[in-house]
Amino acid sequence: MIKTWNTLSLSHRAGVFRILFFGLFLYFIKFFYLVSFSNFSQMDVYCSETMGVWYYLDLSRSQLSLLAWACIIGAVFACAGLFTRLSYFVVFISFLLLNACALKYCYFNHLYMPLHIPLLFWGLLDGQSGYRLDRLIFKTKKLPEDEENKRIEFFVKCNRVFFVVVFFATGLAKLKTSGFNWIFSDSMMHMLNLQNFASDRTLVPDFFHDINSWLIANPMICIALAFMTVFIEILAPIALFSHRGMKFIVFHLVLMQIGIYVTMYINFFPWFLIYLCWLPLLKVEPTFKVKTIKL
Amino acid sequence: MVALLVQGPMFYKIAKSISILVILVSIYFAIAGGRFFPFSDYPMYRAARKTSALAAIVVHFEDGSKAFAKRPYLRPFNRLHLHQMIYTTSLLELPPEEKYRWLDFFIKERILKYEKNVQAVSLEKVEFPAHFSDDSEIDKSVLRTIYKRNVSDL
Repeated sequence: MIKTWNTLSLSHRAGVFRILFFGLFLYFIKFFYLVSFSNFSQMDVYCSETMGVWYYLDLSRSQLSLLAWACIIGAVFACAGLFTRLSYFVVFISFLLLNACALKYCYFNHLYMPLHIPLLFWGLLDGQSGYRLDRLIFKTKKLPEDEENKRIEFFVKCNRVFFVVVFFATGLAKLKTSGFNWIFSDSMMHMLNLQNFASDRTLVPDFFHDINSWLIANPMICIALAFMTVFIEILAPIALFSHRGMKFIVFHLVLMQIGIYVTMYINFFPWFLIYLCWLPLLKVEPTFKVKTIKL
Repeated sequence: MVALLVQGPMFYKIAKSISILVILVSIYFAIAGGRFFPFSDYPMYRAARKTSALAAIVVHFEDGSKAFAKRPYLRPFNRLHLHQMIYTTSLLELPPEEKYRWLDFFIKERILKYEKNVQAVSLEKVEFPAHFSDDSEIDKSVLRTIYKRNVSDL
């Protein structure tokens, strides 16, 4: 089994990546919830004034429903590799419109914000991933293997650079808006406390609240966590240059996001889609090679 | 024909250039900030994490009792979103009736559907940690009333 796995070509590995990506995408998006936001159309005044939304995009409930279904069907087709390129663009455009419409209602978009650009990369750059129904039905011609591998590597690298940019931006935003106060003040303690105010206790297991209370009671640990968060985010670009750095950074970012869920009850699960480009199954080396000079 | 168009070298060259451009633009936004990557930088956090006070909605009943806004009143928002809403709208230079016009929506569409004998709904500045599940703690937690809306005036 392992031998068979190891002999898979990059194109087939990219096919597994595609199936995982769109399969999980279907699992994570909760469009019926998204469609319910149309009930809030009366709140436009508040939204435009306070959320800083500069555009006017007000779709009716049936239009939102239609978009949601287009997105779901597009993702199913993309997963199966049927009319693949078209499906990618259908998913990208419908998802973008749905989120642009929902942006004025709520901050819940933090869950989906980083998914748009990887969806665009799928549409633009993936013509080679394996396990497609397209190839069986339409008998499309394959590119030479070298060219195919080059294109897949470029696609994976684009996803990785974007991943790094997202996390680096979050680290930088913290330092730019609050400076070192974000780390060395009671900021983290307040944020942990705030989450108890935000939601009802019934939404997460009780031990999450116990961990949250324990952290609030230990300000030094809060400062250490704040420091680790900013540290790992600012260092994210290292993941692009070395294999060890890649493992260290990606593993700690996963831990950080699980930690945010446990201590602050904020669920970042859809973000795991953008982690998929680091999967060892893709067998793509670090994005940029650094030339070392031997003395 | 379509397959040739989207698989061909010209399409790939254009797609590659667009992808590089997209990455460059995201790097620009990452460094310049703004709403493109607002993670960890929401106004609600910016304001709230510096103090130990928050804004909350309190429902006043005809018998004189009070209750913190419960989750069904606020859906799909949570209390933190509401804090953000109260905080940011309070910064607008408008008369209170204009600034907090959105509160009428919550009263009509949510609170009055779940509760009877509601006399008024107010926006309060409260100190946390407040026991938001325990309404008997309201008087201890409230620091100041920001705005009060009588149901009879709706």
